[in-house]
Amino acid sequence: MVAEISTAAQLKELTTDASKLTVIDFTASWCPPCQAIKPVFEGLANDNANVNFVKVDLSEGTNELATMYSVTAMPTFIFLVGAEEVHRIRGANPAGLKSAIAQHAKPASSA
Amino acid sequence: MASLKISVGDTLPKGTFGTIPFTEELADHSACGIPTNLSTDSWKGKKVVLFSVPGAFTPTCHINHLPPYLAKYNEFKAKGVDVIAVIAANDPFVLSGWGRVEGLTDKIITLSDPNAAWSGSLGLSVDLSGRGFGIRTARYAMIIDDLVIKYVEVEPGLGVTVSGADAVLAKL
Repeated sequence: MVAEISTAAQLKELTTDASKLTVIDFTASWCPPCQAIKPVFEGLANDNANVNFVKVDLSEGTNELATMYSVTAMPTFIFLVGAEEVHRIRGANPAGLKSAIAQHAKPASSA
Repeated sequence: MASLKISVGDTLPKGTFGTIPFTEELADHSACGIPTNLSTDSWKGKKVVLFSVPGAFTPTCHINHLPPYLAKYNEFKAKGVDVIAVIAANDPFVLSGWGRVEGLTDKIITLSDPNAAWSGSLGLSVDLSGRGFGIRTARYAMIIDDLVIKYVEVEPGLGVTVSGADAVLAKL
């Protein structure tokens, strides 16, 4: 399940757990590489229940989250552990996405 | 023809332009650029070379006006220029594409002046409707230092002379 957010306040609500991985997809409906990677992102969301997957829709233009993270190209994937950025990927890169999630996600089976 | 409303020594009238920042991923189509706004306020304290073309990809602009600015980038930098920008009435997407085709990378930024409104307010627009282009920015160049105009010249006719890279370098 990929939730859509558009404000810093909404992001803050999702990132209260300091060890949880959140992956943000900055995307737009008119951007071909964004649409191409969309099913990959949604598939990863289904397979990684212990990770927050959110999208920020920039179809109508830029917003406060894009400015906050200096996003100038889409798709851009920002990886946060808790509220801290640990990684970002610019461009549609399925392999990069998968390996970054594997690297930064808290193990699902932690007690 | 354009009739200049500003002169050397004036403070640059404020403008806000659409621009798509350069990103490597734009070149191989693995990413799309997002237009953001650039305000002339960000030029406070900086030395800026701004040159204007009537149209991206049009022959004189594409072959004779823009390329020398890119080729002489290091010479501009050696003279303390902080920002080199090309402005046109085209939208930011067209300008981003032109920038990629010309290989600007992050050396020269492209600024969109829709309907040449800002340039027009300075007396620097031309009506090219007769040729199917609508209102465009005139072919001009400016040197702006800490938001004060140090050089502003408009081409008197066809071709690139006072608004070209050599003419501007000579004035820096």
